[in-house]
Amino acid sequence: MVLLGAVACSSSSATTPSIRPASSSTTSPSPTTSSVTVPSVPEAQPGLRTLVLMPRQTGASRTAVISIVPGDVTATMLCTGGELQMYLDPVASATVQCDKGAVSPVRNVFRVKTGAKGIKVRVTAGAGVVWNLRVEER
Amino acid sequence: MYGGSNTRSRRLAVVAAVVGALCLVPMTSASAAEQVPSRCPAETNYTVTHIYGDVIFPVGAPQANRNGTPYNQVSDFSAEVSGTVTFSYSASTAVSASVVVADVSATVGYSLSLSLTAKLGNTVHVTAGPGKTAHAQYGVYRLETVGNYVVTQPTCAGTTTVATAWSPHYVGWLTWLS
Repeated sequence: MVLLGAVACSSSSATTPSIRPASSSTTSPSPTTSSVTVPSVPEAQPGLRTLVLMPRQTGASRTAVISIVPGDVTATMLCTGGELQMYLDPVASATVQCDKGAVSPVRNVFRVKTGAKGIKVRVTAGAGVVWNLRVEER
Repeated sequence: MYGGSNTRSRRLAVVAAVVGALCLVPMTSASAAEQVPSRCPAETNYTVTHIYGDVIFPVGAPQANRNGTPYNQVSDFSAEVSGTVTFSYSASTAVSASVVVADVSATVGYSLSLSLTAKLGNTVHVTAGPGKTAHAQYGVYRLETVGNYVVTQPTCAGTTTVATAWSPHYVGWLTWLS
């Protein structure tokens, strides 16, 4: 007999270099104002290659320009303090509601059929929003 | 008056009682230990043998929007419902969620949760070319692992059960085009 349990319910393997944003076009980070500590974004998962790593910061980001190949482009964030927008122009973007007083673990996966160059990765957020971001592809 | 034969007798009796108690304590412990040998610490752990990555657990129905224009079009998708997704497992015996989640977290090096709530207010915007359909699914990503759930008794007797576990990890979207 196999048990299926739940606590309660209501409803290419490679090294992963930490690539900083390649170019800048927006405002620089402002000081941290949140009382919640946002941990570092988790290490890249086995089988995924890091395209962009934006360390913990506050407010808007610089812009990183990347190329992607067909497959899953994964954007992982830890954030707190309010709303932010994450862009992978022109493929996709997302609006994220980051908890206030707690850290929100966020992942958006964009399954793409064709490769593309010149994808611009950036984040916009208010001064009170603390976040980090790792973009990976399989 | 301080002292006297009665007082000395009482003092001797108290000393004898204390010495007797000191002798009795280790003897009692020793006989208890003989009755219940404790050669192994009683413990429960989950040793991960395979990590299969994140699998989205849907919250709400999948959404889609076809681009009928001759131009690229951005489709906007919003979370329509909220929902809480919890740890779950498949095994031949019951397992402790807290033990499994703690041991998986220690293995992967970051913190997983017993449950995560996908809330309203999150949106995603996907660009689709002419004639393409953009799809989006909101939910909670759970890390799928397989491992050995081992329960060890004080007698050193142990049981091992292979368990597949799904530990809540992130909230977010999966999008694709067709």
